[in-house]
Amino acid sequence: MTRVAPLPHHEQDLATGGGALAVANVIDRTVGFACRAVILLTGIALLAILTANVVARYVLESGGFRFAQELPERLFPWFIMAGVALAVQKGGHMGVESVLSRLSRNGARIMLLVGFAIIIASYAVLAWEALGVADIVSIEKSPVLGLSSSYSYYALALGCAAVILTTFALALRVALIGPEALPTPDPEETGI
Amino acid sequence: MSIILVIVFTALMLLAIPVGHALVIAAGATLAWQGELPLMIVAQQMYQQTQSFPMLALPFFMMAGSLMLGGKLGHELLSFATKSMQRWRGGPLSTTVVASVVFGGVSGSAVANASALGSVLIPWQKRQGYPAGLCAANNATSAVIDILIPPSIPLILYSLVSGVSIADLFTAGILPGILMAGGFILTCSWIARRRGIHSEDPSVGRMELLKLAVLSAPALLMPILILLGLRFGIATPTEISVLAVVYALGLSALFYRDLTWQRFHHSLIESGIATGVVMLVIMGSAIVGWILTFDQVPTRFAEWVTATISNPLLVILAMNILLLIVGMPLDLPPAILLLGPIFVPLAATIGLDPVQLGLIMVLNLGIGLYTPPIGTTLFISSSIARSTLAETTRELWPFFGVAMLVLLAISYIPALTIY
Repeated sequence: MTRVAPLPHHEQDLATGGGALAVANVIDRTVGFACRAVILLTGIALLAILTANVVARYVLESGGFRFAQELPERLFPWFIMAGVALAVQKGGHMGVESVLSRLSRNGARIMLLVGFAIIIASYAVLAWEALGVADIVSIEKSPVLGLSSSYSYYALALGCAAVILTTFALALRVALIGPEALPTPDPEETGI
Repeated sequence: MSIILVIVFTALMLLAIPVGHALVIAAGATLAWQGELPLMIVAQQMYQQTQSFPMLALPFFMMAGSLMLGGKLGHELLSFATKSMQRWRGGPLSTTVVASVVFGGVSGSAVANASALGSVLIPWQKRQGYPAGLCAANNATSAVIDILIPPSIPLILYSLVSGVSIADLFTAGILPGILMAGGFILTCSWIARRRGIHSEDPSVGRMELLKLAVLSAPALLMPILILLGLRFGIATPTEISVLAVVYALGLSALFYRDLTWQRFHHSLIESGIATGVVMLVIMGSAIVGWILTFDQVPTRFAEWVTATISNPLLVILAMNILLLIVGMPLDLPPAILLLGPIFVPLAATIGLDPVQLGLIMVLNLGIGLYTPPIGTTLFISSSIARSTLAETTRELWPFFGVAMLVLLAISYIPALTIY
């Protein structure tokens, strides 16, 4: 469904596309590092909490930890949104490309750029709305740990910001190199 | 509102915007166009999906599969499937089918299965004299068995929209999965016999086969352990998925001794990305579902269908045809999440069990993964086999026929899915 070539190396970028591609690389490296760190930290925490809770249910008289449901619910949005942004970078989100594949190289480039512009504008609005809701629900606290519901909306807003940045980096590459700059998705990461 | 939603969504899809993004943007644009409902609904609906405790099972089932198949265990499983089928006519082709069943008990993704098995088995099958198109067709169709054998990601998604227990769905998937595998093995044998293709590899002794079975046993046991854990209420589906990761980590560290930080890191990041892909679709579908429910589309659709088609058997046939058509351009997760809320009330009005409906939906949409001219496993398999789409499609029809027979059987024989 998606095509095609590996992302160019930093040196090649500088030779062919100059500073704009260097910016795209910096964005990708920064967002990629942050998202990987979030996935690792939240993933390990979720794994540890849920495993410990199953063990505790059969060992402790209290029947498990009282926070074992609400803490994962607060961590999971961060894990998800980091995955969403990283999937944009790696071409994991699948689309129907039957029209795109029939266009000329320039036509495909323009169509992709229009799509990227729509995504960036929409996620900017979504991030703004998520921050608005985060403000409203800041008084809602979880019963055991007293964690505010805002944290999950911040994950949504920051995830949207990461999607915007990554899509912008993709748009720079497609504008300067062409549609072949789209990343090739790994089948293991499509989730189907 | 729903008409605007459909128009905007279709336009975004034609612009090659990924399905997850298209769902979110189309729903937001529809609310903005309507003007009276706040856009905050989009953020709230997305947030609510991230608070679903059962959905935490998704990343951990994916991670367990990745951990188990990425190491020596994956190699042992493949050896077991290869050697056990070698002695039979069409054995090399049937290996893909058997491997899909055993890999299906560990992984839950058809596309990952098509890629992982195809890259190893297709070059070997071609060396045995099987045409590239046939190897690709066999790989594309067999990979879909994976989503019927527990743990299955599409069945978890269906449980989200239908409210049916994951344990019931996992149990219901076993018999259709075995039926499909049996049908495909007979097809492989028939094709090999008709074309006079013989395997050149010597068959293995029983002792060697037994040794391979013992080495593969930990993975072969996993679907059984998952079902037992769910059936006897030892843990929730989410906890079972976490225990599956612990089991995979333990096996890898202590039994196969191939656990490294790199493998752990890779599996977790991979499952994080796959979760991001699936969850974005879930979040987008939730907003779309909210708009459709606001417009009372599911209820009106159910009323219209039951008023138009009075015979429940014809309603089931119509559902199958619609699912096959939708399954061609649309991937499994969005199709389940969008059509599930519409079909579940319809099934209730005609007396179709929601568990049976779940299997009908997943199998139909699974067939869509290899139905020409669009199909993810079809493209992946053809690309690995280096066959053209036309060559693969020509070889596809016997497998497609078997899949349709199994689909008809589970659509009209409830005993195959409800027991």
